[in-house]
Amino acid sequence: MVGCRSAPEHTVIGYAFSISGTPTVQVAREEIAEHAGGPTIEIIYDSVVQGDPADVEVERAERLAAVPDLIAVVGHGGSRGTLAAAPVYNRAQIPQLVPIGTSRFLKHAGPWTFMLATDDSTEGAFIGEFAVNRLGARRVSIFFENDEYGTGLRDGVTAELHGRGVPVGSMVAVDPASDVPTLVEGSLLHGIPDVVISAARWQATGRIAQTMRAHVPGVQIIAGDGAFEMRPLVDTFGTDADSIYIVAFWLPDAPGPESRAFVARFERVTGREAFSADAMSHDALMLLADAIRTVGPSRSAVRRYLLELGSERPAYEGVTGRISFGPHRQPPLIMTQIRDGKARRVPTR
Amino acid sequence: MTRPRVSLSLRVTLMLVIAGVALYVLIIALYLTAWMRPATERLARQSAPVLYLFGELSDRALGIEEALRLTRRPALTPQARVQTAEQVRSVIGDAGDRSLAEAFASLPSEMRVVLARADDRASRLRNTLVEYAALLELGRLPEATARAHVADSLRGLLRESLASAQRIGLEDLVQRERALSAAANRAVAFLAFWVGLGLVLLPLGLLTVERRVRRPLADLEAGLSRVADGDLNTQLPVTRLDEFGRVITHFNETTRILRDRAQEQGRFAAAGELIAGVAHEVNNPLMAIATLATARLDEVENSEQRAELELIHRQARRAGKLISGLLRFVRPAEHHTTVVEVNDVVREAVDLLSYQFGVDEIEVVQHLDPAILCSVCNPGGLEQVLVNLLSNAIDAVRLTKPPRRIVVESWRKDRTVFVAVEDHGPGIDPAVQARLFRPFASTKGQKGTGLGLYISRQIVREAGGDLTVESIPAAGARFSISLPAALSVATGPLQASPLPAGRATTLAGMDILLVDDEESIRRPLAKYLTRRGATVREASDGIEGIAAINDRLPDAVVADVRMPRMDGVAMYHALTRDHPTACDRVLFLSGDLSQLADLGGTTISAARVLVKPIDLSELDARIRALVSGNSAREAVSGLESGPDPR
Repeated sequence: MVGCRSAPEHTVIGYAFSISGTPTVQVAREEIAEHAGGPTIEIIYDSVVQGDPADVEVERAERLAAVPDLIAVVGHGGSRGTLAAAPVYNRAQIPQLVPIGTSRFLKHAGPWTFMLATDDSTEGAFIGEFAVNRLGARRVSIFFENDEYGTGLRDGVTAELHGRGVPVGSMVAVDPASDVPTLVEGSLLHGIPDVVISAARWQATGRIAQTMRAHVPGVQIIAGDGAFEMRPLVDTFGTDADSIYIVAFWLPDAPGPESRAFVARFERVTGREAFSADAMSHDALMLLADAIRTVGPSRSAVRRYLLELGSERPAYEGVTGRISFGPHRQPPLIMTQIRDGKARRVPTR
Repeated sequence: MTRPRVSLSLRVTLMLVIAGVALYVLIIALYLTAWMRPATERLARQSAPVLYLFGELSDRALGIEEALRLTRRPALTPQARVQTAEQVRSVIGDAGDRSLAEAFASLPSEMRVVLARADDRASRLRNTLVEYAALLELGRLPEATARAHVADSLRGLLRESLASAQRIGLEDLVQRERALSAAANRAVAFLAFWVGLGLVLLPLGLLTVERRVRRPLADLEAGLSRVADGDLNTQLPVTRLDEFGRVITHFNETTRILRDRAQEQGRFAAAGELIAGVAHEVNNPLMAIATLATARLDEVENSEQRAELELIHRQARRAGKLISGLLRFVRPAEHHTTVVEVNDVVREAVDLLSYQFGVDEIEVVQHLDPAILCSVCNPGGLEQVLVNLLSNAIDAVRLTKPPRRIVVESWRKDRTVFVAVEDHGPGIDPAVQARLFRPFASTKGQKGTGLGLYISRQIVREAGGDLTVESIPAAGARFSISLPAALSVATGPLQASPLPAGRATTLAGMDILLVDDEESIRRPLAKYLTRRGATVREASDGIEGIAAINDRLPDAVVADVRMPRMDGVAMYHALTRDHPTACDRVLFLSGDLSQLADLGGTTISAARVLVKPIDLSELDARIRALVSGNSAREAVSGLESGPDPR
């Protein structure tokens, strides 16, 4: 009897992210291709140029869910889009790994949705604590984007500041189209803050910093992870971006062989430095690839694999640290400050 | 006779009925809880966020409308502008801060997209109004006016989105309502089908239970009731070969055995009555023989003649003793317990069967504990048990060739008295041994009743003991009775009181009245008592006896129980009424203690009765004890109540 080898099974990981995710996909594809044996893993990248309106994200999710051989999805970019897309994946029973979405509502999005990053309550508390302990904040203004990311972070920060007895002078909603200078000036009529917290994307954050510093020299600006788009921020706002504190989930100087290898590979493949979102997305993609190789091309088996991390099986050693989804998981939170156009690690205690 | 039908066993039938009912209930319960309820809940749950979102977006739209209305109000002074700005922020504030994410998640995609778009537009409009408020506060009125116009134009888009969302939402709600209605209709149809099926199956189930359970049970109950009423001819028809069929078969068989046993018992009882009558009639001549022999002993000097007379006396006594034992055995047992000297009962039982031992050449070896072994039990019952065991042992050893031997042992260990009857017969088959003490288990075929050992064990257990058996096939069997030992030795009822010290040793000076219809007994007794120094008067029945007592109150009256005209008990009752003093002086002679019970209603103590054939020395002693006891009592009574009127 002559044995024959059947062709390896074809599997797909969907990747729904903004256009900035292209380099991550390049790196992940190269790394996956280096693994011999097991099912072939293809990454299908469904990108949008900018923003994540809910209707667009739902359409993307439905598009991806219909892809044959799709095993799991990494995405989407922001909290709002991810929340909008999560029901599609949960209904289709497709594991969804969220790399950077932080809305606490994602925890309840469904049994097939897994968050890689910390939630906005924890990040808000982290920012609030930093503002008070490290920057000595006595009066704080908060600018937030009026979506799940912005309101979630705003609530987390407000709760922390309230607990520490620090008053919040103004809470102003912004969006990418807002007339930020006017809103900043308007907020100043209600009091001069010594610390401004931005729960907005990089565009609004840059404008807030620009306008605030023009009116209140020496004011400290802290931004959430949503503003961590270093290149456009620095390129657009130049020195006005300098000294802004921004929360990150990972920095290229992170210790560990996985991190160092990733930084080297990323620079080699893309020609630029890796950022926090790159590392988080990379971890999500590689974790799913590992799951498919370990348990086979089955959505339910991959979901079980993810649930078992840190308990029945060891936590996944990723670029951003150990990854598991149990109750004791502690995703990394790093405070950085822009200096000379680069994000530098800042001690938090 | 109809042949019993072969059908499913009752157990299986009942299990099928129960399983059918359980399945029926389970299907309905599962349908309602596992399918119907989640389906309706899901529909209801999905409606809730739609309604919530409509409410929420309407609130926001109303806030925005109100804010837009405020933008059209002229604000000329800085204070008015600040006030308007505050009002604008206030009306669009709270509602806009609430996240709709959770509600969005449970919506269908199309609605989610439309509502998300409406929410985005509301958010943009809201931010524009916030900018308007800021510009108003900063006094940049032309820009504020421009923002107000932008907001106004965005309102149209928002309205369009909301209208679209409303349309989809309403369609969705209508669809849900239809789905709910369809689900309700399906539920009604399902339940109607199952209720209909239940209505068809219920009579079938009830009929099955009626035919297979209730009716046979009622028949059985009626049969048992007839048996309880004494109708041992009751037989029930066996219509099925199920469990009830088997129970009824057993019932019929048991009733037949009971009927046979009852007939046998009847024959036994009749034989017992016959034996009792014969024994009584034999007792009187035996007593006459023994009394005459004793009386003649004092008159005869010749030693050979004395030896002959003593032999006559001994044989008469032996025969009397056998008769007593026979009477005791055939009389219905009295269920009274008393302290019993176990060895005495063993000896009496052995004596009772001594003839049988002799005929069958059986040597009875008695290893009886020399100490007095007392137990509290029914002596008649214990004797019955021992006779039964000995009879069984005789039957067993008969199957072997002589020499045949039966060993009877008694001993005491701690607080238990043991009696064992051991034979060297063929032993008991182990299969039979397991059911030996059950009713109707017999190794003797038609010869045995199958109740002997069962009743024997019951009697012993009622006394707080047990009856066990050990057997080695071909080597014999050993039955052991264990009884709780009595703590102290009590005096038996028939035992004569010992003579008090200093009492008279002769009957000299005593006036004794002998009342007996049998001259052959009365005369030798009178002769004996006279020779012992007493003054003896004679009467042939109770009437003459009372006349003699009326004539002169004797020191003692010895009266037979059975007499013509007026028996001893009637005489005693008459004396109780007319001569209470004389009552204390009466001793009775009886062939059978149970005669007193037969005469009924008597208060005569068994201690006053001497059972024939009586030993004359015992009669002597009892008369002396009676007279001296009465004298002492009367002396005490006289001291308490003054001089005797006599």
